[in-house]
Amino acid sequence: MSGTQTLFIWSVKADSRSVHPHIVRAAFAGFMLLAMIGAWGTSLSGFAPGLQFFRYICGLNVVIISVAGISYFVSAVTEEKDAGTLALLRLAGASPLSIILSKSTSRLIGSLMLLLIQMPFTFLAITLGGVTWLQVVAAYLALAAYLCLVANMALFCSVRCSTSGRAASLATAVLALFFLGGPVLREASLLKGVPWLTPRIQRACAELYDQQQMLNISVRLEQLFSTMTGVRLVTSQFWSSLLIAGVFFGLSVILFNRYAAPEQTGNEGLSAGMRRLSLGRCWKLAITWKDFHFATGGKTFFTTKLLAYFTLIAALAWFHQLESPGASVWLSPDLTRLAFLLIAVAFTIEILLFASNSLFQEVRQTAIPQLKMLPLNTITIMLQKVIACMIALMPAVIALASLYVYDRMAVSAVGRYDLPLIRNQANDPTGAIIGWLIFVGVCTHVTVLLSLYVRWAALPLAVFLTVIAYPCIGAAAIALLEITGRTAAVNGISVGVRIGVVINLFWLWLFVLLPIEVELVNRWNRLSQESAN
Amino acid sequence: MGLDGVMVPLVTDAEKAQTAEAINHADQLTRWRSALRGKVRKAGADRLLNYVSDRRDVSTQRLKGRGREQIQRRSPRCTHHAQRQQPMESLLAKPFSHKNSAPPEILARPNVVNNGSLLAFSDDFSDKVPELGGPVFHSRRRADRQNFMAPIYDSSTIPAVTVSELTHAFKSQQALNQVSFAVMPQTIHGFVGPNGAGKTTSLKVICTLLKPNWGEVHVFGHSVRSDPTSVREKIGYMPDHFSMYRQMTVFEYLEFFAAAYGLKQEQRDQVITDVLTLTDMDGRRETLLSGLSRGMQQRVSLARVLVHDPDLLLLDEPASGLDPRARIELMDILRELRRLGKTIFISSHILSELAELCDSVTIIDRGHIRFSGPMDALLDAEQGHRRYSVRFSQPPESMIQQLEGLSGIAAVEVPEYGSSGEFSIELHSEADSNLVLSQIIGLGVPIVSFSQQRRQLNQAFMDLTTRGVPN
Repeated sequence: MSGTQTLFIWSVKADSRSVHPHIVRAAFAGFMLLAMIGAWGTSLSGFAPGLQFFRYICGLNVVIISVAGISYFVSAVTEEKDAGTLALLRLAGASPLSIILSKSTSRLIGSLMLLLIQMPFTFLAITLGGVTWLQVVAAYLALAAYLCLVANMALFCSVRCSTSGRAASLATAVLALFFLGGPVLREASLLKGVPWLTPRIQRACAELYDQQQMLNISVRLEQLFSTMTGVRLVTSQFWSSLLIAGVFFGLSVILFNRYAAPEQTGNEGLSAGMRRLSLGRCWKLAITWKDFHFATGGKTFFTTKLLAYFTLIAALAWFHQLESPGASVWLSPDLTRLAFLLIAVAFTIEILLFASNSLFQEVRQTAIPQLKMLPLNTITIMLQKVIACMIALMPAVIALASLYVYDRMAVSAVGRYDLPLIRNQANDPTGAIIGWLIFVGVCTHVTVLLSLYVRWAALPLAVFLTVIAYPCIGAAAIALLEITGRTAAVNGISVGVRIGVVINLFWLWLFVLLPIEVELVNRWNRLSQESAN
Repeated sequence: MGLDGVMVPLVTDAEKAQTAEAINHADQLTRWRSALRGKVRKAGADRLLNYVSDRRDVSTQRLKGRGREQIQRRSPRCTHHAQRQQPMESLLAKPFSHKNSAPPEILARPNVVNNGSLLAFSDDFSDKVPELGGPVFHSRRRADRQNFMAPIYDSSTIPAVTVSELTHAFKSQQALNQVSFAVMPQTIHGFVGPNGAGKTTSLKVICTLLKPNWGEVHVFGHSVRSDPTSVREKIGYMPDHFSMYRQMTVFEYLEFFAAAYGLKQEQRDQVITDVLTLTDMDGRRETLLSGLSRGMQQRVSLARVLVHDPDLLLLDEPASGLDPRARIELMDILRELRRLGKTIFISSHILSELAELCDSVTIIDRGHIRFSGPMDALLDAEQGHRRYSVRFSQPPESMIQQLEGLSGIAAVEVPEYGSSGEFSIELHSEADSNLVLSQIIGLGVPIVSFSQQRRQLNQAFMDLTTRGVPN
């Protein structure tokens, strides 16, 4: 056990010496305090905002844990594989259990610390009303169990995959399958008129759905928030999560040696001809070509995404036809909105993943001096990288544009077609679109900047910081939009909202994004110099 | 120096002589081709020869001062061929000018004078660029500085790199302290020093990755401070810890950099084929970089710095990690590149190979230049007495006593790692070596060899540098 102890202590020491985790924890505590003050302000107007505040905090924790799972925990073992130091650890006599315990436990403890520091603040929420201490403790136990589940699932991905990128992809797929699997299973269990969905299969789907609901952290939190009486500290969600986490951990230990061998390199993979066909010749914008093919997946991934998005739309259309055989439109308004939202979410995730990976890949491969030596200035390099990401995002854009065009056609074809995307006045999408633009704009910039500072976890940190900053920026944006719109209406200017949008985007760029961009360029230049030392 | 300041004229006899020399170089190409043909074993030999020929022509054109705009380096196939068709006489008729290759501030300085074959400088400039005035020894105490005026360069030669009073510090650590030296074009210049001496920092400043705190660095007349983009176009930098996009193949990697340097697609194939042939990697063009050995990756890295045909190659420890064969082959490649007109600035710890390879050398220690000048000047620098090595086939046991008894010999010793029958003799400063040799022959012992001993580079290195690493 001495090896395990040494590695574990080393990991904990490294974590405690590093200033970044402490900054994150302090920032989170500060954010909690601000949220508490905000909630207290709300309570002055007669409401009891404790529950609402606590619900918000718990939702934020779920998001952060999930994002940390696909970015921070997945690198527990793969960071050693990426650096080529795993073999050294094994040569030093460290057993798989030692390595896994030391590498994963320190991260798990660090994350549990993040939950722990919230506890005193959330207890203050009790005084605001609407939530009891038992609910608070039960919610944090559920979150801790979910954290263990995600951390060990990510650990398994880290053991199984040869690189951090692949591990992150696998973990993302598992989490997506878990959360999206519930609704799909429920629909499958209720669907009628499909020949191959026999009652037996539907029963199995229903049982699986029940299991998924039992394990689902969102369901457990909703249960906790829905009642103040009869709250149980631990439920089957807690024990099931720990059990599955244990299974993942055991699998990681058992399979460690099998997948610890370094990645086989050489000429395997596509033949030269196929590779040339897939990659093509280097474009005039060389960095765009490189990033498109080697950072965002290239033509293969581009085609796969395009097919996936249109398969989703086709599946929903098929589903709509099953439910309403004589329907005059391919997609009902609800399903159109669902398809739009799903693709928009995928689009947003893609943007954020590209943002976290684009420059970080250069840092990881220590390629910044090489790029710096090119007769291109830093801004040109950055712009070429942005163009590569934009090309890779085209499948989602095409799918979203197709849905929009379909919506317009449906509106013109069917007079009373009430599509919430555009025509529903009660649910005006302008604010949502502006809000989304602000979120994505700020979050991508912060992610890119953080990817030049931290080894991993730039994305969850950026999401966290953006969520903190969002109320300030978003409120200012919405207020400015409202002022501009009303002023324009008073003066008879019909394009008032559009002017407001333009002004919003301009000030967002000038006061928020531009300083980040300047710091980004400076940091890039500093990194190219630091590599000289 | 006491010389009146005179502007360097644009056309001088010396420059015309150099132009004639350039034609002579071109004439030598045929002989050189046949020599190279014997060395190249692969089927791509003809292509390599074309590559070499084209670049030789570029070098020739440059020597004739035709200017960068006429050479159009980025379309070597189409323009160089056309230029080869021009008769040499027409090229000779054009005025010789360095306007595109010389540092303008050096040309404009009134204190640069042309003194026949010797380039002399007024005191203030020679202080800043010591190598231009010849090799400069800096002992560990600056007060012990010795200056030698033994120029090896023609008066019209303009430095490829001029480093003047370069000073740089990382926080509290002084990495470079008033470093000054120059690198002449079309030479191989060694840059040696102990760990932490400031070699890599100097290289990073020259290649524009690091902005110096103080001092000036010019590369072919372009300041690294004010005109880094022009500098980057002229240099190829190969760092010691080079990184690669491991998921690319060799061809994709080189094509990426060729495209990034602005080469058109139709040129890239030929250029990549040429550099791969030159680095003997043409059989590996479709191999993933992650599947290459370190030596092969070094070669690809060298090929990468050549794709845009830079004038100056900055190589930081290019031979580290290579096996002996790969090292020898790398040195051969570097010699060929020098013949092609490249200037090579190489930092290395393998002193024996540097001594054979380099025309000039700079020794740096703890941020100070200890020596900068021609390699011969460093190795021939004697410590008061001349040393000779004499080897006999079957020397008697009393050989040392017999040698010590000869007039003109100050001391005799058996070298620690010498061959059997070898003796090292030290002559008095006024002794005639021929006279001594005739006396040795008179001893009647069969002589195998008799040669002057040169100081080894590692000996000079040990003499000039300080023990241990800086704090």
